[in-house]
Amino acid sequence: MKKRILALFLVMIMAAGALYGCGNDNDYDKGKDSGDSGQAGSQAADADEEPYELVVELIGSGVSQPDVEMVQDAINEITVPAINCTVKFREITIADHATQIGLLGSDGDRMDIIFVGYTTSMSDLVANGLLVGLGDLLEEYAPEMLEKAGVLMEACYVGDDYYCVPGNYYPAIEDTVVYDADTFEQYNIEIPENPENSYEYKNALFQNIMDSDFGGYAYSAGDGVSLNITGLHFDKLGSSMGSDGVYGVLMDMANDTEIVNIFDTDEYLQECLQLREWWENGVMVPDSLTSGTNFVAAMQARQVIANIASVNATYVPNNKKITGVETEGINFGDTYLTGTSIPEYGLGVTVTSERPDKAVQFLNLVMTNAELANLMNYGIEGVHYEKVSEHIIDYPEGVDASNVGYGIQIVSFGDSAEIYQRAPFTEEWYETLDQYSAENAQLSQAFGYVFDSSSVRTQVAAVSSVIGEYNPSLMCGMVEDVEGRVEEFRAALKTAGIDDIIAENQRQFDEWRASKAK
Amino acid sequence: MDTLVVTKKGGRWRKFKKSIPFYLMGLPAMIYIIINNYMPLYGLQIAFKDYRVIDGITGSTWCGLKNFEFLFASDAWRITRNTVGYQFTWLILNTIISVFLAIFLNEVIGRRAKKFFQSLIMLPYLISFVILAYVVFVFLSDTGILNTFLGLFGIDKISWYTEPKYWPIILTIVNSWKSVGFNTIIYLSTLVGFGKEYYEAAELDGAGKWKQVTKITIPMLKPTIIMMVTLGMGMIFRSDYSLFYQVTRNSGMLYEVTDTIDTYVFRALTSGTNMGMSSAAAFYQSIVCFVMVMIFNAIVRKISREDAIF
Repeated sequence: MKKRILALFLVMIMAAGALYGCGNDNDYDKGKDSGDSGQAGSQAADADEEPYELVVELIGSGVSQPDVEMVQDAINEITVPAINCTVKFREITIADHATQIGLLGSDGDRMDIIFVGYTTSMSDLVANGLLVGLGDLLEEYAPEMLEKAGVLMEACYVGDDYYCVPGNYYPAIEDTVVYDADTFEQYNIEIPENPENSYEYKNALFQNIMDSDFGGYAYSAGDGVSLNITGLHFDKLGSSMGSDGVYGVLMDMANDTEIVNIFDTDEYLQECLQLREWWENGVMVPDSLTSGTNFVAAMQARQVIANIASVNATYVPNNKKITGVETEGINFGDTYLTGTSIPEYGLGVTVTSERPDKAVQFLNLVMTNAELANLMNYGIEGVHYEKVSEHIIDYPEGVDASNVGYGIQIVSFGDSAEIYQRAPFTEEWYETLDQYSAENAQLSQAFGYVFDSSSVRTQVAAVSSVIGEYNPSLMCGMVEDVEGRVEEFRAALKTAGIDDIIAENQRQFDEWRASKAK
Repeated sequence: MDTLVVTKKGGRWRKFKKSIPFYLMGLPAMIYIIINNYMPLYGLQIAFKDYRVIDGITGSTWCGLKNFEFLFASDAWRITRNTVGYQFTWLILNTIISVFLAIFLNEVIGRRAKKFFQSLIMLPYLISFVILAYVVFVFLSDTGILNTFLGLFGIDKISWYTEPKYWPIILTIVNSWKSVGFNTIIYLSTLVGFGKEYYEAAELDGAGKWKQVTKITIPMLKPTIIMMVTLGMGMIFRSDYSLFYQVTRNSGMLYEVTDTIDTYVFRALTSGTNMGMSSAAAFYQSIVCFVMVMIFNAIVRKISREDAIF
C-alpha cells in the first residue's frame, strides 16, 4: 500500500512536470502565432492604429537609472510621429545579458531589440533560433541604414540571411603605442621614433622606461587571456575571449587563406620567449596573473605606463576617461578589420518581437537620427548632460557618473560620427574616425565568414580547456622553461583534437570562398 | 487472521488521522521540495538533446550521449582523480577535526569561552571564497607574509602560484579552515543533548575523561557521524568551484593538482552557451554522487543494520 501511494505520487509529479513543460511550449507557440499575424497585419499598417511598444535592451553595469521613464517619454515624442512606435527600455546588467537572452521565449517576456554581442555570440544566437532574419525587412524599411553600413553588412550574414545590423561604423583596429603622457613627461622618457609593431621597437621603448627614474614597470599582460603576437594581425575567426585561437587563425588576415594552429607557429614561441625575457628583466608586472590586476587598473595605479597594442577608435579617449590618466596614443597608420568585430556591437531583432518590421524601422531611425541616438545614450540636455562644444558633452554641475539620472549604460546607440561623446573626447577625435571605417581598413580574407563549430563541439570544449590551462601563464611570462612548456602545450592541443577543428574550419572556409567567388 | 488485518488497517487510519496536523505542518516544505527539486527533474533530458532555445525542451532533437563526450575527451583521469581525491580526503579529515573540536568545546572549555570559540570557528564558514582568495593571496604572493617570513630565516622566496607540489596541502588547510566550523556546530548540538547520567555513572565506576570520550561520547555520536558522512558522499563528485578557481587564482601551472570537474567544465564551455553539454556535466556528477551514496549506505548496512539511513 505504502509503495503504491509512493508510486502514484511520483507519477503525479512527473505528469505535473510534463504538463508544466508543455504549457511553456504552448505559451511560446501562441506568442509566435500572434507574432505572425501581427506581421501580416503590418502590411496594412496605417498611422491610425495604436503605436506599437518596442522593448529595447539596455545593457548596464548594474546601477539602476532612475530617469529611464523620463527619457522614454522624450524618445516617444520622436518615434511616435516618425514610425508610430513607443520605446520601452529593459535594463539588463551585463553579467545577466547572456542568461536573459538564453531565456527568451521561455519566460513569455518580449524583447524586440537586443545587442547580439556583449558576452554572447551572434552565430550562437542564430543557431538557437533566437534571431529574426532581416534581409527582406532591411531592404524595405531601412535603405538609408543599409547604405551607411555598406560592406559591414556582409559580416552580419550567417548561413542564409542577415541577422543583425552593425552598431558601430568604425570598428577597425590599429597598432598604437598607448602611454601615460604625464608620467612620460615627468621622468623625461623619450618615445623612440618611427613607431612599428616589432620587438626592436618595443624593446627600445621599454628600455627608455626602465632607464628612467620611474620605479614601476613598463607593461602588464593582465590575466593573460588575450592572445597577442607582436607584429601580427591575425584573424581569430570568431573564437571568444579566453579561448582565442581555438578555431585556428589566418596568420596574416589581409592575405592568407590557410587556417593554421597559431600555437604551433614559431611566432607564438618567439612571443612567449620575449615575454619571459621581459618578465625576468622586470619590464613586466610579475604577478599580474595571480593578483588579477588588468592593464587598465595597473595604468590607473601608475604601476605600468606603456603598451603597444591593436586598439579600436575609442580605446585611447576611453582609457583616459576610465583611468583619469592622461593617456596618449601614437598610431601606426594601417587599420585592420575582421568580420568578428561587427556583430560584437551589432543589434538584432528577436523572434519574440510581434512586429519585426517596426523594430527594423526603429533601427533605421536610430542609426540615421543623431538626435534620437543622443537621447538614448545620454538622456536629456540640461538635465543629464551639458554641451561643451559641437559634439562634446559633459555632466552638468553637481552631477557625475555616480548620481546622474540617465546615461551610464554600457552600450551605445547610433552612428559614432554623428552622436555626442563625453569629454575627454575631443572634436579632433571625430577627424581621426574615418580611418577606422571599412573603406580605409585592410579587410580580412575571412570577412563575413562564420564558422559553424557544432560538428566538432567536443573537440572545441577540450581544446578551449587546454588553451585556458597553458596560454595565460605563458602570456604573463611566468613559465621558467618556455620551450618545454610550449612543447607540452602543443602536444596537449593535438590530443584534444585541434587538428579536427582546423580541418573542419578550412573545409567550410573553402566552401564559403567558392560560393562567394561565384 | 482477517480480523487482525482489519484492525491493523483501522489502526493505521486512526494513526494517520491523528497525525494530520503534522502532515499539514510538513506540507509547505513538501510543496517547496516538489517545486524546487522534483519539477526541474523534467529538464534532465536536456543532457541527451541537441538543445535549441527556441525549440524548447520537448522540441529539441535527441542526440544520445554526444553531450557527454567532452567530459572524457582528454583530461578525464586528471579531473576525476582530483575531484574525488580531494573530496574524499577532506570528508574524512574534516569529520575527524570536527568531532574532535566538538568534544573539545563540550568537555574542556567553560560556558563563556565556549560561546566565544563557537562563533570563532563558525566565522570562516561565512566568508565568501572570493574574499578568502585575497586573504590567501596576501599570504602567498611573491611579497606576501609567508615569503617575508621565510626570508627572515634566509630561505629563498617560493613562487607559490607556480609550484603545484604545495597545493594539495594549501587547499586542504584552506578548505578545513573554512568548513570545519559548520560541522563542529552540528556535532556539538548533538553532544549537548546527551544525558548527564551516563557520564555520572561512568565517573562513579572510575572511568576517566578519555574513557568517557571513547566509550560513551563517540558511540553516541555515531548516528550523526554516519548521517553527515553519507551527506558528504552525495557531494563527492562535486568540487567547490570557487575554492579551486578563486583561491588558486586560476593559475594554469597548478592544474595538475587543482583542476577538478567543475573548473574543467567552466573552461571548456566558456566559448558559446551550450546548455546540452553543461547539463550533461551536471547529470554525470549527480549519477556518480548517487552511486556513491548508495554504496556507502550499503556498506554501513552490512556492518550494522540499525545505523544505515535507508
